[in-house]
Amino acid sequence: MKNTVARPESAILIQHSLVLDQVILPEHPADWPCPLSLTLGLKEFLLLEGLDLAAAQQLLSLAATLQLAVQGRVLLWGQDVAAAARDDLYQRRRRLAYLAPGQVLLHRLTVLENITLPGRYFQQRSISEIIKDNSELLATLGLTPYFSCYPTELPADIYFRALWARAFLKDPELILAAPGAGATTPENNRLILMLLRDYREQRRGAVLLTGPGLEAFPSLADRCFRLESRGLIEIRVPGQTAPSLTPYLLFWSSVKQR
Amino acid sequence: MSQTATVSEIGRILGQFLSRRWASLGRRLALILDILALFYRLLVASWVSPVGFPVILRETARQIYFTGVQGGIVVGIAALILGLLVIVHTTPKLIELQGEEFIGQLLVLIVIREVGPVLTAFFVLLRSGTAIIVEIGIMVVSRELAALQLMGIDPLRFLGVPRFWGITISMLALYILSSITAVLGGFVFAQMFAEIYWQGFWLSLLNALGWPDLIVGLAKVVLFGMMIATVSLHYGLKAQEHLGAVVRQTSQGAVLILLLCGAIDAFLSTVFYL
Repeated sequence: MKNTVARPESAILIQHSLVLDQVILPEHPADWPCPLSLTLGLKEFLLLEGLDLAAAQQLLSLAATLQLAVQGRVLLWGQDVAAAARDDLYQRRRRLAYLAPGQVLLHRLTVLENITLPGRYFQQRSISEIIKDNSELLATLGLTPYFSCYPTELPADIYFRALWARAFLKDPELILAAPGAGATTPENNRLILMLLRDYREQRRGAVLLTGPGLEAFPSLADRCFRLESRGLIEIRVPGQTAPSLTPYLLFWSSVKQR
Repeated sequence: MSQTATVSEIGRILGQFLSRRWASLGRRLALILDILALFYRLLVASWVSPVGFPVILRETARQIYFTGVQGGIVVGIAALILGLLVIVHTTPKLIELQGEEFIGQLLVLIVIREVGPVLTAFFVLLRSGTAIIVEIGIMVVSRELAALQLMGIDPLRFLGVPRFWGITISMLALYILSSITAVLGGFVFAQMFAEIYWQGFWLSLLNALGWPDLIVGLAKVVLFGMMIATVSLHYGLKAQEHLGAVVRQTSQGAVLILLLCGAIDAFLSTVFYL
């Protein structure tokens, strides 16, 4: 059984956002490849199909270090997070966005306070500054009329968009998401696709998408895999182009200069 | 043969009883150690990093407003009633024994040293301690704590530190307010019922009041405040499974806080006055 999406020789190098090295999930499904290895480059878009929501949540929680692997290592930007100090672990989580089943807004903050919380907390910016810089994104998501609402007052689709807005306002370097979780209306799917396309073109961070309902996203991905009974199978998507090498070359030239 | 069996049965029951007691003692010791560890982490988290300081400051102000400002009126009224009761119950006896000059000493002993800090602690426990257990418990159950962790925000800093310092500062403010109100209330009623006038009352109070009384009173409220916040946070964070667990943790936490208040009060009074 093929159970790896990794390039083992380079698995622990720092040019990876995420490395799952021979991990065993705490409650993995019976047909889940075990142990699992997976690497995600600094600017890579990876799609993992064929997982149900529960399995996707397990995998993403592990990648976001919310739960520890039974066995194996999880590396975020080259560091083994199981061995990281508490503050260090939180610093690494600041750089990622997690959008999986069960994500919630804080009930006693308004939508505006919720989505600007990371910016206010980490960068000590005011709400008005954050809104000014991201007005286009917030208008696109249609959140402006709901700024003063509390999460319990929101319709499901707006709640879902608010979660995505909070994640994008963090300006993450790595997105771990199951876009099929939550209120997946056609309009929401279209908006998420648009956000991810913009993110890929402008921010050029890494993205790992998994879970059900990924039909719209393969065109964005650098690599696509599907979980089947035989294990993880690489899928070639028609029209998919290989990722540009330029970012890697720039990275290596900066390393050499140092 | 039957005697041996009986002895063996008694031994078995005794063994079971002792092992249960031992396990229970171990659990209680573990609970106290957990609370002390949380107390240490809250102290460290308060100073370890400047990240998020304005947000934390705002949350602290919100906690002080909820506990100290909104609760101030109720504490003031309770302290006024306390001052009245002290005067109503003691003045007739003091007049009978011609000891009106001891009225200040009684107020200092009852209001500033003993009942004032405990009254304030009970009020803060009822108003804010239980509220913290319920609020944090609901946040744990509804996965809001996990959401904070994934945002890279340490829940201990974002939720714990503001509540810890907010409650401690509020306790101090409420204690000062309750002491002043109780003394003033005592004076008003003393003048009404016993014709003890301002000068005599004030002199009696100042003669009785020493620095150790103030220091012990302040030390008690600071420790009560830190203890109420730490134990409340501990029980809130422990509510992992469902909302029913939050209810259970709230009652357990409130009982433990009451016990610890009594223990701290007795310990400090014994150390300073015996």
